[in-house]
Order: sequence, then structure tokens, then C-alpha cells
Amino acid sequence: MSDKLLVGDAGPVAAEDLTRLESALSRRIAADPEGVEKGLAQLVLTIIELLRQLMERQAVHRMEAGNLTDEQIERLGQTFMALAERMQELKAAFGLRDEDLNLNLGPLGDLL
Amino acid sequence: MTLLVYAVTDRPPLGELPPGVEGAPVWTISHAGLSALVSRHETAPVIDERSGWAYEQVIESGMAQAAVLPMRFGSTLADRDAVVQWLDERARELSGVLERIRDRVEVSVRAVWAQGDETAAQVGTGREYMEARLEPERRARALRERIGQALDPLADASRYRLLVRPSAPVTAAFLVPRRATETFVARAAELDRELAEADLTCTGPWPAYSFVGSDNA
Repeated sequence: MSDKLLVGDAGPVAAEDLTRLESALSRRIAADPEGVEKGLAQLVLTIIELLRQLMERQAVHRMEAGNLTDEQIERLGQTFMALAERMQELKAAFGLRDEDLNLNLGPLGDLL
Repeated sequence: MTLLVYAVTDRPPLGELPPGVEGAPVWTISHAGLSALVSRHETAPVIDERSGWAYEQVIESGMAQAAVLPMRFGSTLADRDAVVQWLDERARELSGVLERIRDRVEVSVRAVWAQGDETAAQVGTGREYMEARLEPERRARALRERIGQALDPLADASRYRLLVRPSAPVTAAFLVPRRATETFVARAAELDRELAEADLTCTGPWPAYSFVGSDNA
């Protein structure tokens, strides 16, 4: 890889990428009896997080386009803030990190 | 039994190629003026770092000898007949892409926020939360414009992805004429020095992975 570096310092970036690659390659939903609850929680929370981020992004774009009133912006912001906090609590409850709620979709990139 | 397809070229025969994934020999199957670089495997090879680099080495070796259209890792076909049929059915499209990337290489540019430049806004109200979500996108778009103004004129095509992750506002691929690579890299280095808010990493030359899809015309 080092002979491919043309500009800049790839150290931290490459290290981060390798970590992500390892993670993507080894990621499986745990199917053993002990891990099945966490594995299912990981799957369900991944889908919820995807939907949360999609809704949030759509709302942000509507705000930027001027399609929301001040009241709507405030209400949506409060809702998304509460959702984000709740997701943090659920992740902590199941011992999951942010990167656990992601899936590598190959050609399509990462899910989140 | 399955054939792993590395790349397609229209200038066979190629010289010696390095061993492929799992050390398997790589050879060409030719049809309709095109040749596919393939290796034989009992089952579809596992995708890991080692096999990824072996795959890359084969494509780069081909790239050093002729225009090659790189396939995505893991592209497999059942046997020789299937490869011939595939080349036959896709000959026009594959030839068109080969023409587009001939004598060109892909150079990747990635921007990460300079240390201490990642903003973590304090949010209290709903509006502040929404604004805090919008701000990274605005900054990423502004940075993309800046990079585009500097580097797009030196490339035949470019593709951008914004905010692949919060620390990486812009990830870009440029299709650069091989003879202009040095000029491109020099401008990228200059831009890296000009940008206070972000650090650029530029890698390549790579096979034109980002420019082989039909939507990249």
C-alpha cells in the first residue's frame, strides 16, 4: 500500500481502514445460544438506526430547502434528539458500539 | 469448480502474470476480440486482505501491459463456456468501457478534517440539533467544491462521495490520463498545503475501478 501513497500521510487513515476491513470481513450475527440475544439485538438495532438516520437526513434536507416552519423544525429536532439518546441507551444495554450497527454491503458501501 | 474473473482486456496476449488468488495460475479466455483474465478454484475464494491484494496484483500487472477493465473482487463464472457467453453478450459494452479508460488511471483523493477541526456543537433546542446535523454536510459540500475546482480540470472524470464517515467529508476518485498523473499529483499536493481545514491523502495509480460502470460515461 505504501507505494501507492502519492500525497499525504496514510498512517492513521490506512489503520482505520484496515480495522474497518477486518470488522467487515469477520462480522457475523452470533448464532450460539449465549450470543443469540445480542446478535438479534444487533440486527434489529441496525435496522432501527438505518431508519432513524434516513428520517433525520430527510428532515434536515427539508429544513435546508425551507419546507419546514420554525415550529416543525423545533419539534422534529426534539424528536430526533430523544431518539438518538434512546439509541445510545439501547446500545449500552446490549454492549454494542456504533460500528456494530453497520453492515458492509460490498459494492454499495457501508449501510450506515 | 468456478472461474474467478479479474479483468477484461482487448489487447491479448498479455505477458507473464503473477499468481492469482490462493496462488492459482492466471490465464486468459478470449472471444469476440476481448480476453478475460481468470483463475480456477474449487469454490468461490474467500474475500480477505491477502486475496484482495493478490487480485489487485494481477489486475495491475495487466494494467502495465494493456488497457484493462477491472472486475469487482468475487466476480465468478461457472466455466469457460460461461465466460465466452458473457464476453459475447457484453462485448459492445465492455469495449466501450475499455475505450473510455484506455491510457488512463484512477487516482483516489480522500479528505479528512484537520485535527481539531471536527466541530462538536452544543445542542439544546430542537433547531440547534437540526442545524448541527446540517452543518457537516454544508462544510463537506464546500470542501468538495474546492477540491473539484482544483482537480476536476486535470481529470477526464471524477466521482465524489461525501461524509463516508464523519471524519472523512470527501472521498473522490479521478480518472486521469496516465501521462498527466504527475501534474495531477503535484496539484493535489499543492491543494493539501492550501487547505487549512482538511488533510488530503492521494493514492494511486489504481485500475479504474470507479469508472467501469455504465453510469460513468
